[in-house]
Amino acid sequence: MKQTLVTLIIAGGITLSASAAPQAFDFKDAKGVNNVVFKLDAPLEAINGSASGVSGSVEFDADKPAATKGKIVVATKSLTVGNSMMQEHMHSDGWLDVAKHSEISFDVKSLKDAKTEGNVTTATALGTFTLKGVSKEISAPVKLTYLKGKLADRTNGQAKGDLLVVRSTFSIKRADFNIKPGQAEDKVANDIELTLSIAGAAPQK
Amino acid sequence: MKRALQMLAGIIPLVVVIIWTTKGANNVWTKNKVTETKIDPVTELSYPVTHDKFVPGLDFLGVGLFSSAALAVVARFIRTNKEPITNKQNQV
Repeated sequence: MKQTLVTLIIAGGITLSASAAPQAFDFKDAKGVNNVVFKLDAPLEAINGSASGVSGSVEFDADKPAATKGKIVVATKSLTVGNSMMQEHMHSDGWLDVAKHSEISFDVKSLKDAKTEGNVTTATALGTFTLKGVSKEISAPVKLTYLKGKLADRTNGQAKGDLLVVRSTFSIKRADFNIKPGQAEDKVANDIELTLSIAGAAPQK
Repeated sequence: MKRALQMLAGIIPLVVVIIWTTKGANNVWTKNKVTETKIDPVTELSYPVTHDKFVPGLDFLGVGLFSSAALAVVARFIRTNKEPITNKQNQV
């Protein structure tokens, strides 16, 4: 009886410690859903585009969502706009310099003012945003939706696990990242609005 | 030659305007890719799906109309090959 009780306590402890550990969510997305939309609204011209080359990893603990941290990376060459000539200019060394700076990243170090209701956590993410080799500390509002056991629905049952959906909209200034500061602002706005719509998967091991 | 250029100068703007209008009367730059938004049913994330499609813009319209105007000007300076009227014919 005593031995059974000890075994149960140990098993319960292992289960609790396993569920309390943060999960690593991988944001590399084979389905091509993860995306970042960018919008620039200059007096003479509006430019809209998107990027699909999202990767990175986020550590999320459903019991402590405020402790979330991780890094989201976007492949610079995956940035597209509707006009191919405009896209060539955008990728060129004068603007984003894709050849030298292949990644845009947001390294989230902590969450501030986190509030959780059900499976949704809203907070302000604090971290380092790196673009064209320039890193800057920024804050961005984020909404995290934890979808427990939903990975199977996304993979037609091939993999079991959880999903973490991250949504965020924030603005940066291109001048802060040395992208032609002060030039052509009537056609290419200084303010760039970024909207992240990404989901990461944590398969069961 | 002159007549052909005049006809082209008249036809080009019509064709350009018809193409521009039927392809959506896009009032920004010409696009060769268009994006549709879809929704992922599991995560409910909206995501753009891009595919190749030619959508003429104001630059297409401008180039077409400018070319037509240029042809009309060139046609104006081309001489017609009419036989000169001789004094003899005048007398008849």
